[in-house]
Amino acid sequence: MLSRAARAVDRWYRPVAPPERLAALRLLVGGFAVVYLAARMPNLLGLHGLGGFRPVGVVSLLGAPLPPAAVLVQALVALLLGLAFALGLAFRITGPAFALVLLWVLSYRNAWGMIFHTENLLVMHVLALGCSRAADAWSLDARRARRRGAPPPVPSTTYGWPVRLLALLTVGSYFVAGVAKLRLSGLGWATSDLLRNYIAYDNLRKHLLGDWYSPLGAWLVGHAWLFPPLATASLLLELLAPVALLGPKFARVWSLLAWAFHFGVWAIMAIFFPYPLLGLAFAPLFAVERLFLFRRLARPA
Amino acid sequence: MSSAPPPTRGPAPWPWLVGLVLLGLSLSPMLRPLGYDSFPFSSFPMFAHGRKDAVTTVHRAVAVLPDGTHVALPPRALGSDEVLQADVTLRHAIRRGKKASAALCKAVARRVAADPAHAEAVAVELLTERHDALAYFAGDLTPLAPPKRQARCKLPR
Repeated sequence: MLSRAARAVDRWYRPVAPPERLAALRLLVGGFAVVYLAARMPNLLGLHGLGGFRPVGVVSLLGAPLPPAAVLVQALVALLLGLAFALGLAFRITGPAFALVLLWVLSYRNAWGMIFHTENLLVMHVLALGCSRAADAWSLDARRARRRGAPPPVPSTTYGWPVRLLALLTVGSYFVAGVAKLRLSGLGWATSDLLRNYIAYDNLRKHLLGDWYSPLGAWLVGHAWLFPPLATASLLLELLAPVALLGPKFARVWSLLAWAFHFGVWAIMAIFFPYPLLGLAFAPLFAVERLFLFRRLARPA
Repeated sequence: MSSAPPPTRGPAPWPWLVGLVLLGLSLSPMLRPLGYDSFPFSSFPMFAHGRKDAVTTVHRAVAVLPDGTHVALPPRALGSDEVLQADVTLRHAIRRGKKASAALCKAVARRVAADPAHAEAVAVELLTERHDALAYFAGDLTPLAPPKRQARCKLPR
């Protein structure tokens, strides 16, 4: 009985999937990571000018900030490894190497008293992809293997489990966020003025600090009745995230609602979560290899 | 990782090891003390703490014009293009006292002096203000108490 249940769980966790699905995720997530790193380069290189080094995660190994030259080197190495990761070049080495370097570089960026929660899921996804055979298709490695006469990869559990793991990490992160709200504030988080107060406070500090804020959010906080329903919907969305794993229809509905949630956060708090807003956080829940974007790659050579 | 193509059902230990470690770490903040926050494994406690009102203390850097008018300085004047990183930098300096606040004020003044957008500015001030954010957005811009000046420094010319 137990072994039958274990086999069923194993079959669910390790479904057979085409290599192109995992490859598509490598291209999407790796490509995003490279663009993100490039866009954040001025920030990464300017960190030493900030006070208050408070190491988090793996960077806790450091007792003091790194010299600016070392910060420059680590950022450039991350960028180069990221390119190799996305293109699938020497992935057996660059896959795990980029995952670890990205973890290090972004942990260092988060070690100045402010944790950018927009980056957590990206790093978790890259770590999972780096431990997989995500470059067996649609990669420079695959092209080289084909030239050597290697047979093309066929659908396998080897390509299914990383996709499932990425999906689990996505829904897990939303669920954990929902649990934190319940643990810290109880059901009052959804029923009180708490969300309204946060939106007002967050917009005001951004406004006074000379940054973008949301005039829409600033206007909406004048309408108190709106916020308990919005808070309830947000909390339910987070706590019910695991339903997205029940099948494609559930995944579609939940992903759409989660995307709308992030769009709402952007609209009324001016907090931009690029990873989910571009759909990448939810990509593991879908057959992304069928996207129009990949049609050219999907053509037989 | 493109050696021989894998069989349809590959071996299980590696997938399970990676999955249990990563998923276990990502869910572990639920078992940690309340408000646990780290990177990349976090309980995502932002906006989860109880906040019974919208009263807030904000530290800010402003440019002072010749007529004494204050102009809000953008986060990059504090050394970061990220507003919340700039906020933490200000908080950190002010918490550490007058010497640290003065040092940050000078660093901000150097950046402002080099920025043509603030050519009219004569000084920089670091201020602490207390506001009711709901009242502020309802039109009452007056701080709950007079702003406290933490540091002031002239612009180097």
